[in-house]
Amino acid sequence: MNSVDPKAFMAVTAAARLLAIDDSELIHRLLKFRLQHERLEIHGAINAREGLVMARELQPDVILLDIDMEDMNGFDVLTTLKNDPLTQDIAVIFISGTEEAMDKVRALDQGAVDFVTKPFEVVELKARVRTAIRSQRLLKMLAQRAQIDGLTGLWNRAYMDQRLAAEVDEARRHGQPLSMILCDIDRFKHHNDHFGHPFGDLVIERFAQILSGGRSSDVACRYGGEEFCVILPSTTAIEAEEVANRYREQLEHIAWSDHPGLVVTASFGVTELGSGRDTVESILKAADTALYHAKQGGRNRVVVSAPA
Amino acid sequence: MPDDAPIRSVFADDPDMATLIDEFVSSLTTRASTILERLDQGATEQARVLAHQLKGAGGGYGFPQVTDAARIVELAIREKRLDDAHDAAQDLIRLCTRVSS
Repeated sequence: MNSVDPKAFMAVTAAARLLAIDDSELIHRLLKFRLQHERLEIHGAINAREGLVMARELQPDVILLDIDMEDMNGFDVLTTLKNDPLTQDIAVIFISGTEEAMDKVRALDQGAVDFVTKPFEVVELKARVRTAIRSQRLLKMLAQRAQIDGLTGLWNRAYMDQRLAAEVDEARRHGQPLSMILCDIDRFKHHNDHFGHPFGDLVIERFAQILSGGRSSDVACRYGGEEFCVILPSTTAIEAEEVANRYREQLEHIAWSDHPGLVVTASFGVTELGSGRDTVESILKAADTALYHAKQGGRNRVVVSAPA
Repeated sequence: MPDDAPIRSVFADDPDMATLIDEFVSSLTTRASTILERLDQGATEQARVLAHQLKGAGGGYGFPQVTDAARIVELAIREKRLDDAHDAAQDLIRLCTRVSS
């Protein structure tokens, strides 16, 4: 679903996933025992390379990382984690027998969130793990919220720009179709002026609900004002036209209880990635032109601008 | 405390820790002896890693004396004082024979 995923917010209270990367099985046993009553799902890797693989697969909330390992030292592991988009946001706490101040400074400068010296005090380790997880989850929530439109809960324009660029790259790389719907609520200014801003907001919210209720792979965004955009990966223009028509019909059939008989409609411009529209700018322009033709053609319609 | 007095874990009164401590103690002398063996074989880096691991784990199982003794071994190896490392490894073994759960 493209609107705010409630699961993402519920995750704040769910059991966190911890990965310990340490080449001492004595430490793994101790950690597992000492942290068993915390709300943690604990995993262990007995060397650095196994740890890097597990970090990508498990996507833990926090990694406890040893420095002194035989196959790769902890600093190099941290660098690898931070250079990988899949693992760069995982909180890393160094847990090491080293007592060198410069090692601690280096670890924190490289992006570790904390440093615990072995042998560790259990209560201190637990508190530091809890703090790291709490901070990391709040950061994730803030990052997500910064990309969410406040009124509708859809992704905002900034997110759409990033996501569309990523989807265009992906579609070109794999030779997959990619379509886009640009839509605009008809006569929105009139509804807003005539029935008041709260009603205008309600129309926007209801339309957003329709757009976010589509296929799980589709990405609905508020483009700005009463204009919206839906990115449809692995979808041809013909299929996107059907999707747009479903959205159009759903909006048209809403019964507005405070304004019986009122019909609110929207116009849709549909386009597909292809020859002459193989960049973010050109696909947006093509969808905008199709939307313009839908408006000019009498509104409440879908116009497709198929690739050449 | 006499030099041959048994050393008990500071967590000895915690029944939840009993099994964990037993497992640690049962392997301790072997681990310490392996450090000395590696030193004798010239495998100093392996010896250092083993000492480092024991240093990190000892206190966690309630034996800070093991951590301290292993630290001396690791430091001597790091500083390439191999005779001192050898002596320190023997001290570590002696200490580990006194450890009981």
